[in-house]
Amino acid sequence: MLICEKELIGGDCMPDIQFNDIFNTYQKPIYNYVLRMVRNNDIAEELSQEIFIKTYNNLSSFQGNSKISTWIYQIATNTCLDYFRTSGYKKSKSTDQLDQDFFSEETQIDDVSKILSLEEGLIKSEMAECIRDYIESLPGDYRTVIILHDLEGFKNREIANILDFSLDTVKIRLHRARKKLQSILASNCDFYRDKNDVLCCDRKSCKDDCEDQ
Amino acid sequence: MNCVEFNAIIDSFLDKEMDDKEVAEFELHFTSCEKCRNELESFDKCSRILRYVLRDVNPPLSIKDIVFRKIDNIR
Ligand SMILES: [Zn+2]
Repeated sequence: MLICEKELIGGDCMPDIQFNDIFNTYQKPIYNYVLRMVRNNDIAEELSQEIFIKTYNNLSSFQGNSKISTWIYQIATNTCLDYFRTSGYKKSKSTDQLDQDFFSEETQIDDVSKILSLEEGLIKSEMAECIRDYIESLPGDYRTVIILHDLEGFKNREIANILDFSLDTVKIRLHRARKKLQSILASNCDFYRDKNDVLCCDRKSCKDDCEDQ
Repeated sequence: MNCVEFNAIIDSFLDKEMDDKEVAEFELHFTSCEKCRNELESFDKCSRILRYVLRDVNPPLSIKDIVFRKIDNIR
């Protein structure tokens, strides 16, 4: 049950009720989305606050033409991308460079299958770091697409709306981001199983490679 | 369907965006082609690993405090 303070003094409290509702529903997903994008707790917290303040300030202009989730993720995505632009956020490859990579790469499917046949619970934190490095090395557009799809659970058409891309662009970027992840797992990280049969990744060789990019 | 065509529509399959006829063609290819079967499997597992590594955490409580304090100032 949502409580509206203004109701007590007889004011019109509709927008506040909606905002409380939105905040309670989206606080966790938006914080996690931003954290996946920026990979830093403090920045994720700051940007999340900014996103909800923007949501509050623009609530009266929300027309209901799109789903509320689409609208909030639009605000969140733009806030993250603005942050990347203005902060001179870490070198990541340009979209063009990544496009070229995909055409010159042969994924080593056998290796990937071997690695990925392991249970998720056995993945060591070093490997998690490699995957975070990979996400971070992606150009913003690719990062956004794969996160929105694989982690936030949006359909391609919804992602197209959020990012204002064509459906084909979303599909192509998603495919390329997935291919790239596959090949990174296969060739950039030195995977092996330790004596307890836990999947490990040679952090150093992965890190060197990630830093080369 | 050949392997190149298969690769081009692998996402549509995973995202369940194919009609029955397309699914039938797609399945016909991967049952007969080990390379593509492995490709499909590893695509799916890449997503699972990603979801595991970047799984949800609880947001810090301070977000709520600060947001509502700032909103009180705006009102
Ligand atoms: Zn094939």
